[in-house]
Amino acid sequence: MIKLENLYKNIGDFKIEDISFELDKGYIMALIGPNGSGKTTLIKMLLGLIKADKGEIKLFDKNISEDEIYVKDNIGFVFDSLNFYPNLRVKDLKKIVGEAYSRFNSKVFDDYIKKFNINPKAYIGNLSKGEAMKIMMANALSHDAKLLILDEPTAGLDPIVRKELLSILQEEIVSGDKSVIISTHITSDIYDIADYVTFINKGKLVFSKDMEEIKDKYRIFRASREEIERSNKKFIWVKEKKYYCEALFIDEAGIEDEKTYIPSLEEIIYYYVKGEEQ
Amino acid sequence: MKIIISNTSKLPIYEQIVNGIKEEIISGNLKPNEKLPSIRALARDLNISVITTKRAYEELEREGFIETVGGKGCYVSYFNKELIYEERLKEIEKKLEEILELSRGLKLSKEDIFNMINLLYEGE
Repeated sequence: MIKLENLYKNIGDFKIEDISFELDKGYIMALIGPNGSGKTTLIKMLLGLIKADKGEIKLFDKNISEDEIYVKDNIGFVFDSLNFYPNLRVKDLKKIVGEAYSRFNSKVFDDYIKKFNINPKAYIGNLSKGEAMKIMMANALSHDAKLLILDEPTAGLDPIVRKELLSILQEEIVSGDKSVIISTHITSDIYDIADYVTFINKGKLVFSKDMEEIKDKYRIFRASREEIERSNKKFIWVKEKKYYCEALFIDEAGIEDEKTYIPSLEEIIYYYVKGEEQ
Repeated sequence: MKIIISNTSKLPIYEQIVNGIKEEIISGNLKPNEKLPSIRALARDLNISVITTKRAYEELEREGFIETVGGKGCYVSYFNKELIYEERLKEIEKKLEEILELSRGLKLSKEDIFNMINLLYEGE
């Protein structure tokens, strides 16, 4: 359904280097990484807004540069802010964006707006951040898109709106023929609902794995420096603390003891990024 | 059907689902041949990922508790009552062994243990 193969792009000082991953239909993939890791660049490439120097992006078995209209017709996107004429009303936005999509369903849009408690006569410029995100959601969900791409949609939103958004995403994939790619800083939001996680740092792929594997294998080992040095584990990074050390490793053997615990995605990012800095 | 997922449990979520569905089968809330919710619907309703739910169903199928009928969905197996019964017996035996182990450490006699069990049994 979605396939990125050996993607390269040079943008000034920043480089996307050799990124590949795949996503089947019916699943949610989270795109994670620190600030400036290339998440947004990658998303822009997926949307065809930035062209790759090398490599290939295939969406719905079509090449994005060859079938641009078809591909874009089948993508619904949500950005972290709504960049639209502030002195237009919500209903005007519907009319304008509706024209762009071959299968735009005005009633679906209206139903979402109603569900979200937004007045169709409200001015875009007067919407709150949560409302603006909801408008983008309504737009993304109203044209029968096969792929939803969301770039930091939960940033700056309260927990209630975030939860609402996430449960809509879950509802969308129930049918099994849609997929979601969501980039986020708030990794706790997607910890339970993401099927796959693609982690990038400095424009390079760290890993693209299914969440069950991540939960099964990544462990943090907390022990004295001597114990860490003695153990023959391959640590991703060792954090030196005053009274002990902590290190992230991939536990292939499935050791369970009081010295290891399951890290959050945030901790996994932290250890990889720190490891890369040294 | 009732499944409760705890975020503080040490058990992975997929195992909690496996245990939850087993409980429902033992208690009779889920009957042989009864249709289970689809993987995707259950994932949505529990607010967990599809892949986690899938893993739970695969595990239940591997252990013989449920069966997948191609294109139709997942059903509770017919023969699982005995299966669960045996599994539970094994669990009880294992726990009893632990009790014996602990008792030996305290040098308790067989009578002491029986007395304790009798007291607990009547207390209920």
